[in-house]
Amino acid sequence: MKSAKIQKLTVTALFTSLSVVLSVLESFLPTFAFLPPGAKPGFSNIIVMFSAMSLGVPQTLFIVVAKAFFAFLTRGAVAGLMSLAGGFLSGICMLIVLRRIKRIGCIGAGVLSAVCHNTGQLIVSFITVGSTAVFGYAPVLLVVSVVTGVITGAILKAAIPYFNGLEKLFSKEMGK
Amino acid sequence: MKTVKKLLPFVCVLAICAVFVFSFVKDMYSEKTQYGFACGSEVKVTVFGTKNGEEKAQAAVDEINRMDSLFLSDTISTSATFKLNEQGEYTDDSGEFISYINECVDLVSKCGKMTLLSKPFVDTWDISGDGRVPSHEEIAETVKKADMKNLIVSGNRVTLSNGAKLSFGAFGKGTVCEKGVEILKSEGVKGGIVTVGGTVGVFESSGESDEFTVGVRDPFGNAGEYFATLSVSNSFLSTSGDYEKYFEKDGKRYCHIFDAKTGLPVESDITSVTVISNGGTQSDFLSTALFILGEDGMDLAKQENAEFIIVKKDKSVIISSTLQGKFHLVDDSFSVSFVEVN
Amino acid sequence: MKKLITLQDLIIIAVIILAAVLLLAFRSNEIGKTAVIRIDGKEYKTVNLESDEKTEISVNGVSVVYGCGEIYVENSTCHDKICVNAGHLSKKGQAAVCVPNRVSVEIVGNDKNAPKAVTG
Repeated sequence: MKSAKIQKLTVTALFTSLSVVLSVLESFLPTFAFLPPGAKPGFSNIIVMFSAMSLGVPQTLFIVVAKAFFAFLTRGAVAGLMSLAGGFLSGICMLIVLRRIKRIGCIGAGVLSAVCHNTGQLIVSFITVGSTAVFGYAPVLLVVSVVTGVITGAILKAAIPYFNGLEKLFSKEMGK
Repeated sequence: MKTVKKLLPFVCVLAICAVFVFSFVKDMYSEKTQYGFACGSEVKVTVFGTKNGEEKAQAAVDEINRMDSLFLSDTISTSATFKLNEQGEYTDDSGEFISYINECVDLVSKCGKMTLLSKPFVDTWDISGDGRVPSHEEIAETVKKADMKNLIVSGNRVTLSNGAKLSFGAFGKGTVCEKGVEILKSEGVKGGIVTVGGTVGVFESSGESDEFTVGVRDPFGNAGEYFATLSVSNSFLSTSGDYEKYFEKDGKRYCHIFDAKTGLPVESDITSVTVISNGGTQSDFLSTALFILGEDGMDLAKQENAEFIIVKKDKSVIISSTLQGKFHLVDDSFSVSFVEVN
Repeated sequence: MKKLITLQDLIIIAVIILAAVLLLAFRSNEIGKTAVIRIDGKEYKTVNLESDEKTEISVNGVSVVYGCGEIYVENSTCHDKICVNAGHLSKKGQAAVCVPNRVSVEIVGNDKNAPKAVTG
């Protein structure tokens, strides 16, 4: 029992750092030619998705908050707030979709997660900028969400065996 | 249930296609504008609510260019006016040119201080160039040349005597503007705006009371700035002002509009006149006539069933009472008074 | 084990794309002649895009250029440059937003009272 708790904590810590590292790496990427301004692949969403799937509600939300805090430290309050809103919305969406709705596959989950993330960010930019002008980006962001969501969903599907392996590795170590 | 599931993707694809078609059609019917250059001014033709709007607007621009290069221009060597000025006489087989001259002669006679033979004024004072003030003798000479008696029309022949030179400066833009509107109407366009220099022609044939808003040029501002707006639906609006073409010498401004009797650029407390009427040629003529005649010209406007906006140099504005409700002042530094002409 | 893709996934994707296309389709194609620059959602300046010369103004660290029928963000002190990448705007409803600097530029088109043509 205790070792299971410790194991979960360790994996959460590992995933948190992973998601932060992924978002840092992502910011190094040049703006993709095929992606419009402001669009990012959202690789760190994969981590959130997996934790929603296998870790649990508090762990997932912790990762979201930690990621937002990191954005706040490195890119300022507005970026932090945007990350927090987007992360929360997509995190909650993932928790529901991946745990409760069986009929939606990895790609569907990825797409929904991306859409929620962007919606959260749009809402924050609407509040900070105070102009409905931001919603002009909405159609483009929706299309981009589909593209990035398909990619992240596919990666998630491919990565699940390795993540599971990681967990097993931990439980082995713990078992010793 | 299963068939519904199978059909869903197809429905979605169909819906997307429908939306594309819809937006394409919507774009097809949206406002289109074409530009050109004629009568020494920019030509702008905008059409609304029609298919192939660009082509139709272009047809109007082409017709305006044709009119200018065939008849009206006094600088293009192919035009009837140019040939008449060169040779002193011109035989018009089609009759189009002659009937137009007669129309203008008729209008000019109503003003009394205007001439169709205004080219000597513009040339002698070098209005289009740097400008110069000629001697009294020269001015007297131009007045003689500008006398309408020098223009003789008999049958399909026009003759100029005493070195007279024809110019449609006060009519041409209005005429081609009117022609442009005619073309748009014949192309089945529902509504449009034709702008040639200072003359704007608007029309709207759908029967909806959708009135156009047209700005009235601010004579103290730059091109494109307006001090008031007018709501109009089927009319022509022309503005003549001393700010259009002028030169300054010894602190005095000499404008491009001449009094045919004195041979001098018009000098008055008026800075611009806008006339609203049913015809382009008429509104163009009247704006010049009222600029020359000043407030005495209000009767002429009344006779011609036209409405006017006279802007004085002290920023007071005199407006036909019939424009009440259509005229909206934008710049409060102007003071407006409506007058009823009996 | 989660499947890679299901019918529901396809429906979700179709609905989202449909929504995007609908939003795009109903977006006006009309050319806009006035733009509003806002800071914190409050109108900072309304500019006319019709002049023949381009004018550059600096708004809260965002340099905005307008004229010749268009408006765009030339440069910005922000990190992501989304506003710069929004490109040149000329149609009604188009916008460039700089969230970090809280500046937005939006083409509001032709208000009803703006004239379609000017005499003289």
